[in-house]
Amino acid sequence: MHLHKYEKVWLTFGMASLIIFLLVIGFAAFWKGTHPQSHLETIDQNNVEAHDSFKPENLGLTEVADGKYKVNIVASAFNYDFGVDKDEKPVKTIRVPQGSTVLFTITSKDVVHGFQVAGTNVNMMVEPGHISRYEAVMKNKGEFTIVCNEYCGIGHHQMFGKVEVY
Amino acid sequence: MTKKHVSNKVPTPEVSSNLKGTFIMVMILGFLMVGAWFGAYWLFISR
Repeated sequence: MHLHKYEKVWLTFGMASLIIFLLVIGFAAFWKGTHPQSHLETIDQNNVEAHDSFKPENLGLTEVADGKYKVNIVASAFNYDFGVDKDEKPVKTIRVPQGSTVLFTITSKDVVHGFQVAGTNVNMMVEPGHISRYEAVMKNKGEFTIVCNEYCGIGHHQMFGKVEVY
Repeated sequence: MTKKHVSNKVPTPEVSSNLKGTFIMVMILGFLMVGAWFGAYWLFISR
C-alpha cells in the first residue's frame, strides 16, 4: 500500500499523541490512585445518620492527623450541612491551613446535587444512595466558594458554602 | 432524448496534487488539539 509522505507524518503524530494521552491516564489511575468519586460505597438515603460519617456530631471539619483533615457533609435541597459551631449556628465556612490534605465525604438525602469547590479540583456529583469522596491537597491560599453544580430544584442557587485556605 | 457521450479516449493516470497546504492545516489542527489537552491537564495539576 502506498502512503503519501505527509500521511505518514500525520499518522505518526496521531499515534504518538494517543500513546502519550494513554500513558498520562495510566499514570493518574495506577500511580496517583485517581478513581471515580462515587459509586464505590452505598448508603440508605432515608437514614444517612446511621452511617458513622454522617452522624450530626461528625459533620463538618475534623483534624485527623497533622495537616490531614476530613470534612463530612450532608447535602439536601437546598443546603450543605457542615454541622454546627460552638454557638449551635450552622457552619458555612471551612478553614484549613495551606498545604493540608482534606478528604471531603458527602452524600445526598434527596436528589442529585453537585459539590464543587470552585478554583480547586474538588468537583463531585452527589447522588442519593451513594457516598462521594474526594481527597485534595489545598495548595493555594484564598477563599474558594462551594457551589452546587447539578440543578437540584428551585433553590439550587442557594446551595453554597466557603473553603478558606490560610 | 439525451445522447450518451462515449469517449474513446484512454484514461490518463491521475496527477498527484500538491498536498502541502492540507498538511500544514492538519498539523495546525493537531497541535491545537494537543495544546488544548495539555492546557486542561496543566490546570488540573496546578490547582
